[in-house]
Amino acid sequence: MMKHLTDATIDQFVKKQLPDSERLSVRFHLALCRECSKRVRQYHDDEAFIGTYREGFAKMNSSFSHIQDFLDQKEALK
Amino acid sequence: MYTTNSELLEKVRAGDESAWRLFRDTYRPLIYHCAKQHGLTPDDYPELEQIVLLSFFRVNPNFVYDPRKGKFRSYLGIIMKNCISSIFRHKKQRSEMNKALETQEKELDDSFEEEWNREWKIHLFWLSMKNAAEQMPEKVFQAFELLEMKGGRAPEVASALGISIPSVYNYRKKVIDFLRENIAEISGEEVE
Repeated sequence: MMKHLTDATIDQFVKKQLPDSERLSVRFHLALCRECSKRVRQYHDDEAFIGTYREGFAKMNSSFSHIQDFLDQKEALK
Repeated sequence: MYTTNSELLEKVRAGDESAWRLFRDTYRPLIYHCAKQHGLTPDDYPELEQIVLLSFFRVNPNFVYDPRKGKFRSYLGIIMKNCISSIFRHKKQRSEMNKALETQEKELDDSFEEEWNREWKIHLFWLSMKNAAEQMPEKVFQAFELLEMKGGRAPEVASALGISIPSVYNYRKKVIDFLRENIAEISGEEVE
């Protein structure tokens, strides 16, 4: 019976963090395993979803906390 | 916990203090970030926040937000743009840097809508993240945050939280599903 890919392997595969040799064997497995192909597609979708927001969210969080700190300091000086 | 805009605005209008605080806290990051994007200085932010929030009810004390008449996003966007313009106008009256302020004001006219729509989407994500942090078990949310938002590797996240690597991925998935649903729920009340 074929052993399915672990979540960790799929994560590294999608994020292109696997060494070439492992990447090749994952590709080989995906060519034969429908279930894992589906899981990889889902992981790609999730990554794309989070990727859409990641940068903007970090910027909004960062400007919000800088401004909040500035206003708190100003309040403390009063 | 996020309450829909119509419910929240109705409570604010009725003078509910906690609803007013929730309303202010919900939109504060968006207002501050938008102000920064359009070149206002941190000294302007408290004034901007105050006039934006008061504008909802000052213009018409009997104001009732009716989602059937338009998107809340557009309504808040128009108020934001008018309030930023008004701050620019006040600054121009008391400043010698009219040229720079005119350029900023023109940029506001040219690019506000596109930027506002982009910022609004990030704002919905920000709200959903806040809801996830409040409603999901702490470790579930932390695993997602460390892995996806802070660039951690799964073994490091697992070790930091004292959970297994498969749990890290399981928690990640739970939070992503929550965020998708929550964003759809929040934005679903908007009428095209």
